[in-house]
Amino acid sequence: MRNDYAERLHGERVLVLGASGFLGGRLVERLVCECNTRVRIMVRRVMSASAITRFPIELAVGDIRDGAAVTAAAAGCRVVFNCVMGKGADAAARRAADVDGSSHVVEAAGRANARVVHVSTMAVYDRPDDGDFDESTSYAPSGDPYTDAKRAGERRALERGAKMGVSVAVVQPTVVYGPRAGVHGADILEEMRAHRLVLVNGGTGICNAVYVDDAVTALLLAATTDRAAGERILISGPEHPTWRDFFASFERIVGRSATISLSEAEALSLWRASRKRPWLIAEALRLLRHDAALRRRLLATREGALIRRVVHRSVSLDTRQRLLRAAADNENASEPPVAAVRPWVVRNMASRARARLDKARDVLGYTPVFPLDRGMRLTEQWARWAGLAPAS
Amino acid sequence: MRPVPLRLAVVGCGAVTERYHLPAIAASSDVAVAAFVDPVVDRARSFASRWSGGRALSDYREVADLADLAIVAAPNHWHEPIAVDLLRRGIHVLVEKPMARTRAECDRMIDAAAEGGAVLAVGQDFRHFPIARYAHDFLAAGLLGDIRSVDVRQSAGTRWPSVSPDALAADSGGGVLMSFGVHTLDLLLWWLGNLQPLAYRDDACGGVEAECVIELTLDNDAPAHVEMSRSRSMRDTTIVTGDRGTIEIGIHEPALIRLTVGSDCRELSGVVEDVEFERAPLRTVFTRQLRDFVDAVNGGRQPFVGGSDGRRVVSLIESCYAIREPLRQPWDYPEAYAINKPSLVVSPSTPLALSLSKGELAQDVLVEPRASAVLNRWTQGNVESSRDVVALASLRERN
Repeated sequence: MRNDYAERLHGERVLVLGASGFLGGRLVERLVCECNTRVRIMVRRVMSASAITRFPIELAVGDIRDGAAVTAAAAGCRVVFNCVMGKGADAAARRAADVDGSSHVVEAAGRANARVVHVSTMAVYDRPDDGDFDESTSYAPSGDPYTDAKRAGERRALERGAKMGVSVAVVQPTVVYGPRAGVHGADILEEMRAHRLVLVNGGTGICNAVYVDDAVTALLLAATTDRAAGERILISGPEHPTWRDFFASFERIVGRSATISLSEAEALSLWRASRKRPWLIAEALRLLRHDAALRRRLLATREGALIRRVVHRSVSLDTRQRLLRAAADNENASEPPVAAVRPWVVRNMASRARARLDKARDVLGYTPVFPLDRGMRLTEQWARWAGLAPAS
Repeated sequence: MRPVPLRLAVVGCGAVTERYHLPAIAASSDVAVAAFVDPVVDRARSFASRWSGGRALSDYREVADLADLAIVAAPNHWHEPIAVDLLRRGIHVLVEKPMARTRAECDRMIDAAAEGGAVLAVGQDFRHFPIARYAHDFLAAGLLGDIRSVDVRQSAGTRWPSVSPDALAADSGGGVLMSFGVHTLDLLLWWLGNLQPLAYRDDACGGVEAECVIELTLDNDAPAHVEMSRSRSMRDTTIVTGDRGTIEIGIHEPALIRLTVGSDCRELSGVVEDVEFERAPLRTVFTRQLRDFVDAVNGGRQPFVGGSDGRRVVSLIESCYAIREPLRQPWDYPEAYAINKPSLVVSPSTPLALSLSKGELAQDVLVEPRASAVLNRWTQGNVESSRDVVALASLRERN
């Protein structure tokens, strides 16, 4: 049966900001194909929209940090979806996109008489080590630039909305994955090519994964539900898989084990060690030990040939053969290095906090329909097509 | 005494002009810019002030008395009207790729060049890459014997700093096949001769394609498979397999030639030495392209890539679009919602089965893009028009 949100959005004009991203891109697809909505997007760089212009959309060029550009793009729209996420380690740059940008969006929506769906994140909450969390959970203390900017951004959107009489619904997805996912998709698969990924405490923490289509459904419901105005709504998937479940799905895709279990303390220690600058000679020797091609290239240089001659004359055949066997054993036995993860990611992976969806169910009528295995089957098909995993 | 430089009009002040044509012009003593033309005249003024001279104009028709030759780097849908007007006035034209959007447009440009006695060159600049030329000579020498298969995997153009949304507009030929495939297919035509498209699929759903897959045949019936993508990282090489061996060609990023001869599968890899190119690849290519254009004008000869070459590849692209079928993926909407193996297909070209229940449709269908809107209306009991009924006539059992 056709969904009510599709009926309500049919033929309406909407603006999607952040459409070149993972969630925004899928939102555009559903708006066009499922809801027959007239979609306008605004991007900073024309070619960043090249994957999404396969749909019949209006393409505007502009920056969320430019209030006039947002106002022009929002003109005539009934809904503005703000899926923008500031990038980089520079806190000021993130704030400009996530916080000042939120103001611009609400103000532009006010002028256009549109409502706003603001995409935030579950990371804004101070999640417990174990147990449930929901919209009544307190905000996380100031920490990493991402969380700080998202928390301030959703606050700003709700405050400006209340002040200006603009309907603003804040949707807070958990760990969004699916085809075309970056952080929880392509990045993991790329990392697994050359590294082992850390499973904190054996991956017993709760992942709170949500398939991208469930997240998009929540955005569509928020855009068409009057009761969502002024609310923060946490959304997640139908299950509470562990991080082990989640990463095991990616290991199945790449066809091999690519994780290592570390305690929280070990994972934090690994991060600290990774921050230290290595000594040049130690790092060079480490590279030489692991990279046979590099060894060959260096030994083919003039100096390399000289070293070989000296070794040949001064080291007995028996010793040389022992050294070569040891080098070969070392190469065969060596496992990929472990990728260090940031402290806030370690804490996140250790947490057994489970997202409650009561408010999403009550206010939006939200019912997630993609369990992890179903979402991951689709993700796997995409990963193979995209060349991120071996062809089956 | 040095000859007087030719007066050049630059029509279109976008990214390709700024990044590549202007440095090539600056490096040439054979031309001097007489005018910059752009509908956003401030952009033309900015170019004129930064590149020492030339008038800033908003209308290309004003260059008629100012210029001997022109570079046309406007959006694709403007190539034909601008080039035809200038060529008829006897102004020589180097038009950016694609030459035009259709063979009919190409024909009008070729006719205008003949009418005006002007040179028409096409900016299919990949032919100027050293490895492209080497591959051409290698294949022309027949060193692989008979060609048995061709396989191209190419990621395409998302880093290009376009300033206008026209770059991705359907009217302007903004899909990956037309905007980037024009290079890939031009090289294949140049290296291997005629290509006949057998099947073409792309992912456009009312907009322009970001992914496409083409199956073609060579004159000897050898198959050629071409995939281009704006969202995937691909191999970015062409593999040509013949009776005697295989050559893998990477034009740029990676720039490589990999040769395998005989049956022991040992490879010989290398690059084509070209110091100037290695220092500044694309600037070198555009400099050589401009030099060839100017030499063709001064020497009264055909340029290295002329109107017939431009027409040939546009014609192939047009043939591909003419046999287009949708490229759908299991994770697309609404395929992702089909839990089990789909038992039905809705498409605009299959037989009538209106007796199916709405439940069956909602749970277990594949929907071709053009039929999805109809399906949405039908599942809520709201078939709106006779056109919908015709489209619903496309329901059929797959199994």
